[in-house]
Amino acid sequence: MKFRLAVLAVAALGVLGLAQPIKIGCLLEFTGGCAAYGQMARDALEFARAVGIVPTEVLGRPIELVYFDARTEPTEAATGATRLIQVEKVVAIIGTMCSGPFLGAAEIVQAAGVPMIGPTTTNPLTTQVGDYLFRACFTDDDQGPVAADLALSFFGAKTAAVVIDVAQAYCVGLGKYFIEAFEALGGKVVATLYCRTGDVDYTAQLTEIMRVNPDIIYTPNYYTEVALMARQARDLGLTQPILGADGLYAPELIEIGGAAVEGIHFTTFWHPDLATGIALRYVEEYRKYFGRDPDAFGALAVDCYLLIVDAIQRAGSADPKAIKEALQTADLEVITGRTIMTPQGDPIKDFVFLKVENGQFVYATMIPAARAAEIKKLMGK
Amino acid sequence: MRPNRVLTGLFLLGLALFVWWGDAHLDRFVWRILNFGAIYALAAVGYTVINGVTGQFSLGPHGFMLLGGYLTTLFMLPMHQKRVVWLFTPLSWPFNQFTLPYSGFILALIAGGILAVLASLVVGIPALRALRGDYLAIATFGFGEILYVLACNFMGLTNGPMGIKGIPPYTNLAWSFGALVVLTYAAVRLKNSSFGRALRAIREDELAAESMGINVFRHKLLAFMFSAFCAGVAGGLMATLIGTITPDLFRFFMTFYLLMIIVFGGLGSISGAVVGGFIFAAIFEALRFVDTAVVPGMRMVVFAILLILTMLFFRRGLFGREEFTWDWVLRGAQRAWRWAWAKMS
Repeated sequence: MKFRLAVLAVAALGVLGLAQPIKIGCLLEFTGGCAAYGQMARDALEFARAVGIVPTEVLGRPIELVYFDARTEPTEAATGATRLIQVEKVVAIIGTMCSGPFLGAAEIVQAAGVPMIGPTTTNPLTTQVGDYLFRACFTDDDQGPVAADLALSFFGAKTAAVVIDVAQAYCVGLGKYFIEAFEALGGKVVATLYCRTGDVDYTAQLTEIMRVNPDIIYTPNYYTEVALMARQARDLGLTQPILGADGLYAPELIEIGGAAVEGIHFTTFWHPDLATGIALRYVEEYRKYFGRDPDAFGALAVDCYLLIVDAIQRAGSADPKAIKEALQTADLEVITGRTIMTPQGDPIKDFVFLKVENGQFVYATMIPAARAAEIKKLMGK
Repeated sequence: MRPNRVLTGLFLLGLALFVWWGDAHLDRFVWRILNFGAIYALAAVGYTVINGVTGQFSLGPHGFMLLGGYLTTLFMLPMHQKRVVWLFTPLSWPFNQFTLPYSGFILALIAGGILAVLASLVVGIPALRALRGDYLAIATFGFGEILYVLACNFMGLTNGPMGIKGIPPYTNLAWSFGALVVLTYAAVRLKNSSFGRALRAIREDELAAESMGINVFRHKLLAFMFSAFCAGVAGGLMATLIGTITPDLFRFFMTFYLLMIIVFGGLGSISGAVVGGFIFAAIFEALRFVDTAVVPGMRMVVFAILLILTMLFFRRGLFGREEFTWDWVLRGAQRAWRWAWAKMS
């Protein structure tokens, strides 16, 4: 008996000694302009771990998430990342949601040699800082050209007007790449107009659009601005199809826009109805848990978590450098579909084209990642 | 030699040694907070000269920081980054032609400060001549917003909201503390000169000051220019500390933070601005445990409550309008010594 107890005690000590948790930092925006996205990401991560959709241990060691507020400020993200690495000794970082704070932390994590994945950092510059920086979403220079391709092939448009929100790097990037691709693929952009986040009156831009009368309007802005613009466009009698990007994928688009956003199409990376495997479980459990449809921001944060855990598993170690190397060769079925990571830190993913119909987001068509690569080639990139 | 001078000299020597040691050995986390502290303190020193000492309510320092930050960046960014960062609109002449080596960093910082001073003339000459109180605040606030919009739209210079990455991280304790010491010294000399007394006279009563023969407009403008210079240099240091710059880095919240620093430190006290800057940089990290223990984001609420409590019970801030002096330290030390002596015997 005594012997057995002793063996148990030794074993317990051994397990305790070995089972030091692996810490993953979550540098997310809980306050400031991007607070909503940071909160969605945390909700999704906590839910996925609680329900058991994602593993909570790897290599026999529990995974611990350390949440830090990035305050939507580059300075705060820089300090937060330093503390996560120096004090909390995390092996990888999930975050931030927005590109500005991400850039603030990027030079620091690169110098320290700790991989960092941004769930929704679409600014092309973010992963160019170095080889330790990744993203789970696709970049603006994939999504913009895909939208241009759809405008030409799906809508048969010859001319387009573009309305860009100049206060958002994301919108500027998408708009510019759309224009570049649309003209390279044979279309003509007849008007490039600008607005700013928070604008409520779009009469000036819409009057100009009425004057040039394009076949399609591309507006890669966030849902509030697009919903307001769509209302005013329909009031003015503009009937052209409106095309947008994944910044529209929020129920608020329909709440604010009402009947005016009916028929709006946009590019994004998933739709709950298309889910299979782990994604299907995620969607079903999420609906049960929160009583609403899952959002893309949370899903992408969970993707980051899955990618990191998979990398640790394949690397067989929780060493940041080994994780980085494994991440660069990741090919994994995650919540938002199959994700193939490139050594540059940008994933290759399929695109989904959605539309608003009867106040719902409905699947319209699919654009395989291969087509996105083809368009890039046509553009001479 | 007066004992105060000796003490100041010893303090600066100690600070120099600490900076020299800290840049090499200090834990990077503490190092970063000290750097941010020095930069906030530097901007706050300039800000308190116009807001506290002169009593002119300006809300513009974030605009001046933006100018200094971008100009320093454009001078220091290496050529290979200048070629890859501007994805849509190529970088404009003349910045696409050259880059400065590390030895030119001081020039870049001063150039950032000077650009801010020029901008302060543009807004200051009309605004300070005609406007007082709240109106000046509105004019400077508007100016900061205009600069933000320009930074978003002048893509050939700023790369718009995409921002600029890969700025060489030259800022270290030597630079940030060096700039802070030099400009704080200038601010103290300014405050204690006849010029500074004139500024304080303007704060107390503009009409009275004018009738005493003080050229009110000229004094206000010079104080405003000094404040802009400090902010410009601080912006340059900030950009080269974090290695990236976006228009969002210098939005109105930056002025708001500086305002908190100088009000907390004591409006019009240069010592208060310096101490306030460091406390401000450290307090968010000190409150980080609230985030982990309660709900992420909660520390901002705690921080706000702390501010309200300060304003309720500590209305004049940490230093009031007083300044740090060695006499004050020596008297305190003497008193503590006597107290300890009496306890022991």
